[in-house]
Amino acid sequence: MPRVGRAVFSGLPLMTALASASSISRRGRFLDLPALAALERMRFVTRNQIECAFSGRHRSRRQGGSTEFVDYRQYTPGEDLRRLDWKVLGRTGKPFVRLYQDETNLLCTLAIDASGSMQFGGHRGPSKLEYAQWLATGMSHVIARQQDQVGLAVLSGRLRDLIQPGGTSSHVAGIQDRIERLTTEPATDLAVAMRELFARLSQRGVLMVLSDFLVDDLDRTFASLRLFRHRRWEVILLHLIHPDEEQLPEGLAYRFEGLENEGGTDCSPAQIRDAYRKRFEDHATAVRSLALAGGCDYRRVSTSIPYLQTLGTFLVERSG
Amino acid sequence: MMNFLQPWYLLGLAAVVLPVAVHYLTRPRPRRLPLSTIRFVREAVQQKRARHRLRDLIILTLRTAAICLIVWAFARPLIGARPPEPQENGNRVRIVVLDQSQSMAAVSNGVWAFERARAAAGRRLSFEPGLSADLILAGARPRATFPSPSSNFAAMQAALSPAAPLSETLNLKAAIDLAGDMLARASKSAQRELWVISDFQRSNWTSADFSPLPTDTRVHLESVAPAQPPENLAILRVGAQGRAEQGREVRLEADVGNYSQSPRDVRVEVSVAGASYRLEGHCPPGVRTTLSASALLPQAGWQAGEARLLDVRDALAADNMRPFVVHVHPPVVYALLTRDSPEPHPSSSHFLERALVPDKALAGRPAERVIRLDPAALDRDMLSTADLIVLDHPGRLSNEAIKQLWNLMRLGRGVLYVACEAADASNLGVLTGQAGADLRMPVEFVPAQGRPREDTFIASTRSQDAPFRAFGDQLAAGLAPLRFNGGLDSRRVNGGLTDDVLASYGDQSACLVVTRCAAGTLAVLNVDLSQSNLVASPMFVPLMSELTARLLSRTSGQDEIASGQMFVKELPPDAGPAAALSVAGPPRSNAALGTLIDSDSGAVWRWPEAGPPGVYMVRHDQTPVYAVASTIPTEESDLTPMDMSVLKDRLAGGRSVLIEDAGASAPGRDTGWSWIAVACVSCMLTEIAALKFFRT
Repeated sequence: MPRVGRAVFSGLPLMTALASASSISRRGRFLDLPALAALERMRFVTRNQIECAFSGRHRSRRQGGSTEFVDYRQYTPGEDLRRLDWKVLGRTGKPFVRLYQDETNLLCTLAIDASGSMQFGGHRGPSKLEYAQWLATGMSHVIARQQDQVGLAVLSGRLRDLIQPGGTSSHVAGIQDRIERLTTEPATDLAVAMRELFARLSQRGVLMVLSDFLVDDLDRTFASLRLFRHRRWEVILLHLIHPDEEQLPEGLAYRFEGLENEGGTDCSPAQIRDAYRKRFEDHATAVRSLALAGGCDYRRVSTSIPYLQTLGTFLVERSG
Repeated sequence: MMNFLQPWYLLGLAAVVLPVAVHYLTRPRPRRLPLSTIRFVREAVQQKRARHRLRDLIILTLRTAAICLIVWAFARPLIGARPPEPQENGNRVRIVVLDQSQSMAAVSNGVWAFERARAAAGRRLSFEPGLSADLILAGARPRATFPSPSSNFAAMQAALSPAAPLSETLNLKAAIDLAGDMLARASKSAQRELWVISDFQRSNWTSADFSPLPTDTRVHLESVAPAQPPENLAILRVGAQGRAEQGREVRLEADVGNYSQSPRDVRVEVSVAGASYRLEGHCPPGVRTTLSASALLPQAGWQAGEARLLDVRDALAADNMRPFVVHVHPPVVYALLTRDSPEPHPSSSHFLERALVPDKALAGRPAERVIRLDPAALDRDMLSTADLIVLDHPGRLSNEAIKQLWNLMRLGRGVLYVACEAADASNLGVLTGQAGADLRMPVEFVPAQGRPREDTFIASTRSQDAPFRAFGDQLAAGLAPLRFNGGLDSRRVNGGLTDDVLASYGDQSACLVVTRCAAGTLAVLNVDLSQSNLVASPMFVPLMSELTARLLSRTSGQDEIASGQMFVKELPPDAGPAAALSVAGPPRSNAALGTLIDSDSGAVWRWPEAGPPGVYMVRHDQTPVYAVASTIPTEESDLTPMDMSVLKDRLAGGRSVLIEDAGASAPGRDTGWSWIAVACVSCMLTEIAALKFFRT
């Protein structure tokens, strides 16, 4: 039976919330609490109704004993008489039951792509994996702070690791610790990893995928993602792009070496610069198109933008 | 068939590997860089690969073609039938004879023929394995760089560089002799080559003779003459007509040669004795035209002058000017040896005196004069001062008088002997015997025998020679009424020149004989003037004037020598000893002037090699006693080349003769390299365009 509840920190002063957050999250390499303090009043809001076991601030897929009125329905014998609207019965002579929107908590699973391509850091800024680590840690902090449950899935050639969603401070600390210890593997097969993840997750929720989507077969990957959508998961895709991936570096000749056991290729960047840029943009466009077509929320995230700015923008847009 | 001037440059074809080598050597070292999106790189490379392969193929082809074309151009391809040069590794001896005569200064297409010849000679005098060579600069005398062939090509090139055409003619025989001597002294096993680089003037080469060369000599004749003979005008002779006398008008003559295809109107400016005279005339093509103008030379002595063609632009500029000298004599003094009385009466000597000095009465002019001398009491001093000695009825002369006559003739005096008596025949016989081989008269005069000589007439004359030439078409009409009585018979003498008999009577006896002897001239007029109507004829005075002018012309002083030739001159007796003489050349001339030495007959000027054109004077106390003009040989002005087939077929003497066209047509055949260079540049430009097209 889902409970109708309210956000725990919604009415607390900032310092109290910070103190509470510090008690929830153990301080780690990617957890910058002073920086995250700017996001204290922001909430991660789902766009769809969700279903969860605990009461929370998110609209549940079910209607229940919440205080938010939704509609009337004719009384059916056997129903709880406490929900009967006596005033309407007195005026109309017909029994109607008041319906309320149930509010539940959020189950958010952060799926981080830990394939070899995520190791790419170019000449400037953090690698995509580091950026994902910063972003995921911050996200887990925000989710946990609003009394929701957060889980973690590490994807590469398979589902390497899965931490089911939880809301306790130790659980969140464990997730953040796992995020900190993330390493890449050369092999990549997001489709397989997603299917395994789908099989392992029993409850609906929000799936936030942080990946560069540099896979051999995008269609298979998105076919796996569509499984989540069919089960009414809310899927959020954060497409991580390093600025050095968008265009080739200047120089006469390079031996480019793949990060996923792909060997090397000699070429002169000047000769293929335009062709490369077009292919990369085609790839990004394909990812976006497949994501939107599958009902996913797609965000193109450049690692050149500070992760706090990215996270803030994301939360603002989600709340709006 | 294709040959190459510098075939060793073809070794450069090995450089076609350069583009590939350069490509690999200059290929940038790739930097290793991890990249997550390598799959896109590979796809892009795959997409561009076909395009880049096409680009690389085009660029490589163009670069290789450019290198091949450069090598080809450097090898200087010749398209035509140029005979292959022998490339044996054995010893070879090569003599290069380079024509240095004046005609090599002819300009065609703005370039000296000599410059083309120098380039051709330079090519033959470059190092080749087993080759020794020598360079002979051939002018009036051959000048070899080394006494024998050498491998010091640098010295030969150094000798070739400053060489220039000389104002000389080509002494081909001397050059061939020297080359033949060098080739003959070479090793028997050596291959002998003679390269002659010349314009092959017809005037010089008709007498070519290769017989001094060893029979196994390979003769290469390389012509630098243009395909069409260049047009040329030249002053071939300048001087005074006849004897120039002080204060008397003289005809200045200039012979102009027109060696072109069209007639030309020419003007010649003659400067002499401080005055200029303009000679004008029309010169038909291919002939020598004499222009003349009257001049008055007031001062006696040697006068230097210069003639110059005006407003003429032709191939050879050097022969448009010619120096000359004129010896202006004082009035003539005739010595008349006769036994006749000097009293005026109709005698032979009287008529002669009147004919010799017909205008002595004219005032204001230096007077000619006749000195009568008695042969029996001959005044030797008076006789030696005379310019012309005339004998008329001298009677039998003493041997001493005849000997003195002969001595004066030998030194250049003219003698006119009017013979009609038996004593005259005897005197002439003695004189002939006295002169010996120096005087060979065509006839022998003997006293009339048999029937008397009466009413004879002149049957034949040499109308083109003096003294008859001046009468032209009127000669026959003037001679027809003449009748002669008396005189001597004559008999032909074997070995005598019949051309010296200028007029003959109807009985085949000689009327007028003019014979040269040593430096002088002897004229015998076989006529008794007192018994003929000649003296009453209007022809008499001009006939005698022309005859005496011919006799005096031997001492007219119009002397010139060809530049570069050896010159020996016995100076006049009154010049004085050699120690008191000096020779002066033209201003700014540093040519050697020869030496002056004393001999039995007086001072002698020996000049081994006449200097460049100009007037050279021998002076005694600053007074010129003799002058001579060094001039360009006239044969150098005719630039018509010889038919080379004549040299190859008839004058080769069985030797291998190869004809080259280095000067005239080689530049035309050798222009292939320039087109190849253009093609090479086109390849490079196409390469740039290809790189632009492929955006590289």
